[in-house]
Amino acid sequence: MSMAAVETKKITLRTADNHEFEVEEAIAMEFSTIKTFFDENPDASEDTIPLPNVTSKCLSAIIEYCKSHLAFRARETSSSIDEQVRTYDEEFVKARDNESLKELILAANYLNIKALLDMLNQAVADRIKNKSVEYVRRFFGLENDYTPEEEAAIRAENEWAFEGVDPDDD
Amino acid sequence: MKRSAPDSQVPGADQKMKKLKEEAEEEKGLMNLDENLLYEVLKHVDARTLAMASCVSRLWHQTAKDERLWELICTRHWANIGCGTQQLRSVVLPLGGFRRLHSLYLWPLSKPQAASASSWAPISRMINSKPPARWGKDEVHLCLSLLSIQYYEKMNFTNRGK
Repeated sequence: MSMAAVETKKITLRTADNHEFEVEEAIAMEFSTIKTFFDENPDASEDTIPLPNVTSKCLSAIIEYCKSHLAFRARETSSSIDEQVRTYDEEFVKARDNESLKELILAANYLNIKALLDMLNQAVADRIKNKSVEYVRRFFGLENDYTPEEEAAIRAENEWAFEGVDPDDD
Repeated sequence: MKRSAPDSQVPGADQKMKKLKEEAEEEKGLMNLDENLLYEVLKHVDARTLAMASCVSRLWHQTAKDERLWELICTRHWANIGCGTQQLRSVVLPLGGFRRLHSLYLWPLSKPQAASASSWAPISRMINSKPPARWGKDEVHLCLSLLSIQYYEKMNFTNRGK
């Protein structure tokens, strides 16, 4: 992308699976972790930043998200823009399976991208809403570490929450 | 740990496989949200899901019973509390906390069908039997009063009237 005489500064990121991504500085600065790093190490901008906790699949999705949201923010605020942002976010999440969603949350948390993290957390919250305890355990790959007595006690304590729970469909 | 790699022509391939497997296992642990991330997710769930979350595992129970999460649940639908947040906390927390407030009073009163059950009927008649979608000062104060009454009833007045 060559526009006028302004050369957009690029930052190189290396993912856990050894892929290198070149991103515009503006996008890299959306990752608070990276922004903080550059604030503290202004001379490091030429270096490749390693991201040992992020896969290339995650990073490319995250870059897409940040690019799109930067573009939205550059436009004038209006309710139609808000609507477009909502639709974009919905589509971003809808296509992903539960595993990908979790991976994205971990990556967004590591890179410290607040808006994305909030959005993803809401998406996961929506996916476990009204589901059974077993569904949630499967969703997160969790072991039940309660004894049968403990589990019975805690379920009894929270009995009101179990009325009208969706039957598991997975 | 002895592991048979499918093709170990390259010396040290066994070591490499072992390291990859260990890293994969570590990753599986990483795939699970730690307490802080779990807390962030739980900020977005509704009351029922939060209570159900307590039953998932011990870690989830620790996180889900956090008073701050229940405060969010309680105050979400309160249009007007009639006092500041700190003041609200200074009343609710000593009287049993937001989680108790919710399960004892907010939940039963927020279900129209339960409100017609005998023990709640007089109260729900007082608040127009159909609880408003967003509670105002009166509804909130009513619940706080009920909470404090319940607290005092439980107090052990063994030294009374000697």
